[in-house]
Amino acid sequence: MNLRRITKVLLLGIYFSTGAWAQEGSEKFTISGYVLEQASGDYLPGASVYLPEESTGTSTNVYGFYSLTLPAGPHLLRFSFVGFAPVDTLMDLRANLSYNAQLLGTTLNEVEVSEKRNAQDQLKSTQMSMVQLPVENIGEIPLFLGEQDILKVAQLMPGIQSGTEGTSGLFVRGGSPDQNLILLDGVPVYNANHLFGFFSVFNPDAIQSVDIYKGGFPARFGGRLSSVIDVRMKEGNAKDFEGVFSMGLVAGKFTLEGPTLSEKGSFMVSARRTYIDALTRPFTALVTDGEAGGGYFFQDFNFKVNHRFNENHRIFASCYLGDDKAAFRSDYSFTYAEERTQSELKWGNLTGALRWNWRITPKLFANTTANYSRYRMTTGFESYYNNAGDISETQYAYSSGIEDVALKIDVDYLPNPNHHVRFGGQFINHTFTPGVNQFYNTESGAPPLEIKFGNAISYADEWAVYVEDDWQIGTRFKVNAGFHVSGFGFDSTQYVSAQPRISMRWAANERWSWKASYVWMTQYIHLLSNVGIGLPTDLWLPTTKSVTPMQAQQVALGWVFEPAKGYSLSMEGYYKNMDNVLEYKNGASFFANSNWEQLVEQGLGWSYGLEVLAEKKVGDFTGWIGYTLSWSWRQFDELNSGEKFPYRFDRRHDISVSGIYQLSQMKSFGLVWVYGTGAAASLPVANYGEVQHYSMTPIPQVFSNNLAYYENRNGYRMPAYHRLDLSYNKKKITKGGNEAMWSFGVYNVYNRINPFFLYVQDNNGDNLNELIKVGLFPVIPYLNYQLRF
Amino acid sequence: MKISGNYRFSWSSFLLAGLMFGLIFGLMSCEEEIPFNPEAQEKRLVINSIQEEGDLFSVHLSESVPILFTNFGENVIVKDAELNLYGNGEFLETLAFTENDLYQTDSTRVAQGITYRLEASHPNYPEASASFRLPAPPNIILAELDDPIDQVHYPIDLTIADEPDVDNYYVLEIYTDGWVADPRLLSFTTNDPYLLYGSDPDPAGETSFFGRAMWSDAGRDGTSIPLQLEVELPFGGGLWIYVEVKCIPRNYYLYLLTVRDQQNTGFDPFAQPGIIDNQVEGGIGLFTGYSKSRESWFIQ
Repeated sequence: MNLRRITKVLLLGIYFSTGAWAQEGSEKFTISGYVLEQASGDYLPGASVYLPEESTGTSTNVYGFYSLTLPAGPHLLRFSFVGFAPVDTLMDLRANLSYNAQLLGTTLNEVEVSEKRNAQDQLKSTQMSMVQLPVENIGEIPLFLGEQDILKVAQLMPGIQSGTEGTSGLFVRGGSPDQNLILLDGVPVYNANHLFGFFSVFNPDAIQSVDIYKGGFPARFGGRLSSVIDVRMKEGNAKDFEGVFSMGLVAGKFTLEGPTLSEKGSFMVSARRTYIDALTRPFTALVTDGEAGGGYFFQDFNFKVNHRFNENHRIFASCYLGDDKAAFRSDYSFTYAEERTQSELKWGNLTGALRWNWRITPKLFANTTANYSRYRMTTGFESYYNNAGDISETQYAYSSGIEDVALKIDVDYLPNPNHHVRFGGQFINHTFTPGVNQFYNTESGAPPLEIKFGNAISYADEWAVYVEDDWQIGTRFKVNAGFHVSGFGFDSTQYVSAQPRISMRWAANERWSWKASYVWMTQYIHLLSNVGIGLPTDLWLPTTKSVTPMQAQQVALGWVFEPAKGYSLSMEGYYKNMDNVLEYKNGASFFANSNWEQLVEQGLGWSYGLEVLAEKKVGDFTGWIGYTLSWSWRQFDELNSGEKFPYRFDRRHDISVSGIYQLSQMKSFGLVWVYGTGAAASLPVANYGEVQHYSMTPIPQVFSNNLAYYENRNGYRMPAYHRLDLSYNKKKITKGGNEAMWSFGVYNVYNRINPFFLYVQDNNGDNLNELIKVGLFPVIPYLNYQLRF
Repeated sequence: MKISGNYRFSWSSFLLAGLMFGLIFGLMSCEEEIPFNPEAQEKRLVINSIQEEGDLFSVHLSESVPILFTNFGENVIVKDAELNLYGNGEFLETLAFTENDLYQTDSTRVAQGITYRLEASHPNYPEASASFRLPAPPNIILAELDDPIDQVHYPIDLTIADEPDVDNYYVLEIYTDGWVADPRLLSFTTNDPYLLYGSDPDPAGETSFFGRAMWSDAGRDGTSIPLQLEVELPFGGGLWIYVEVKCIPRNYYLYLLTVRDQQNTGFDPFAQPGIIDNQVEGGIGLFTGYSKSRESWFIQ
């Protein structure tokens, strides 16, 4: 302890011992400001502002803002954040004060910083069923093809399950992927997948934090039943320029951040593109003799900039643009004929947000956001055929998507250290394009044919208001209670829903605490998905008069325990009940081109389970083991004879083991092992004859074995899924003083054939067919290079 | 070993070899046969029976073909099974196998208000049983053939009084007495949601060849159901046109719906599985009946 701190403590001791504080305690003043990282100028969300002498305090909000209203007089404030040296400041409150604290980073490694922050939050916060992903060390965890993917890391957490092999789809506590609200800087992202779900749209180099809420949703969140995935882009280093460049098997990435010219803000720009098309182009040209070609790529672009006008006003602008594009062309010439075809499939998201932080008073902080989000899928086909002068031309185009324009305001009110009140509201205008087809054909000598068909574009309005209070009652008990009221209007149909939310924490001591929560959630938009792996053909659709909003109620009970420094154990049990969940009807298909409302059924869903997460956060070996025991059911009047059936991704056991071993300061070894009960599938087991009877025929007619018999919907279990991935990472300081990292890894080390789909194969020469499982990914090595400058 | 010739290492050939090796290795290692559950190999009794009120009971009994069998072939009729019929829990009659490959009752006829249960047993198959209760016939309170729109298109107004507090399922069929003049149901409109059997009426297709539609009274229990039909008689008049409305049990309704769903699925790999409703315990098929009301008009 240095001399200044000893002096402060002594002064405080004298002050309190003389009882001077008691005379001045009747009048109160507010100290407010921001907590920042000294090196980069980054604002630190979740930093602690604690008064050790008075055993009270608060923490910064997501924009690094804090506010404390205290009795007049001197107070010792301790600003701290894991991974940073705490700063003690003595404040003599005689009026409202504004104070920004700057913290200096310590030598803790990034893993420890991330994990310890997580553990602290878990013990102290009322928030349960929430995980913070270790974004900082994601590069050292072995991943599919070496491509860093935050959603793949999320799948390693208990209660969050993957769908089929290699895909980024998230199934949270028995919910479907459309029940996840995926926010990028507060803006919904409607299709978070690239390459048919094998990669997510989030470029980890551009991401600062990922918080996933599986339950215990605070009132400020709404609109989905099962999870909120809150992804925040980096603000950018406000003091120095820095960047990252990396190349892997699949894609190359580049990120640059630094202060703006005015030095009152910062920016971050990041781009990623795959080069599958560039690699395959020479081979397709070789095989087709140049007469055909095609390719596939995806790309992402992230940009964020902020500007601080003064202590009270700050604005942020951020955008994301991502596209997938697959194209094919052919051009054949014959003696008397010429044929040209061209086809294209393109899909992607565009999001943008303009945010304004306003410290209205020292106790009142407002964040106003205008945002835009668009997901669009288009596909087209063109052909030209010239047969000795007879020309035929055909064009077909299909488009679908969703577009949102929204305005949102969130206000933080901190009247005293025991209350953190949040309130606000939002309005969203949705535009749905649920599948519009255009067909054009012309032939020599015939009038052109032009047809437009499909579902009409439709519009809907969604609004919500909320209020919640994080209330410290005594030293052990804390409660977060609130209400979320939302509404939805489509045509003349209006829906309103009032959703109570409550979360509680009882801290038994410094080492363990109990938590409980109850939430009610309502969802007004639905995703029609055929296979649930995030195909671009998935359709977002509104609640209508006949398709009613989905609703869910979830209760959870949890226990958080820190047995020793650097270790934590948490357990949670939950039960979730869902009404009006959607399923495709028997035999329904995306390609049916019928009115979508006639393709779906609404029914019940319920899931329950137990989640265990054991973590080791310090030392040479860090990592976690997650285990989920769960059940997930569905029941629909018109499906499976009205009987309950397992959800397609019902998974009884789900285990993930993830670890990083630091061989030295510059070398590390990563491991991931996952195991999951096999997915449920519907398979026919027999054939039999159909009976038919029409009034005009005298007797019923029985056909020959023309029907397939399924015992139950999702009545068959695929083999269990398991896989081991390994990685070896080596860092090196280059001559220029930059940090370079090579990562070598192997996906699916023991070459497990995990089933992606099953089919029946005709076995010639035998009287029996075979059931074949098809896996997508055998053992795959990868190499990745990253340079930080 | 010495490699002769002017071989030069190049990154492109290395990449090409790697890609080819990866592709071959991947394709070879990504397929594997998995055992099906043994129950899937078991043959079951298939009961197929649709009874009209007043008829003798008649049952078609065959065996199912396990899905892994390569040759589905013709239905294999099960001839020496024992089929017992019960009414409201009381034994009624044992069905006898007849020369037209059907099991039939000798005297018991289908009647309303009785819950029928059929039990089929044979030493080579698991026992199968199924039951149904015949609903009351529909009450048609309005049936009018309006003036023809032209030589071949005829509008019909039809109103059915729905019996309250009962789940009713309806099938509507239109037919004529002449085979060359089968009508087509061009339009079928009502203010309430309804379901068509087959796809939408299509004058160019055969999906409404028999002019059939079906719906349930879900959400409008006890209210009159007004229907506006437009019928096409492609070969003109000079014949009788019949409109028949049937009341069917729920198991028949679900069977019709789900058979349609499975057949619509076709070879679409993106379609949901078409699982046919099966109310036969221990076996497969349909054991059901119907009661009907009919209207007819002679078309000049």
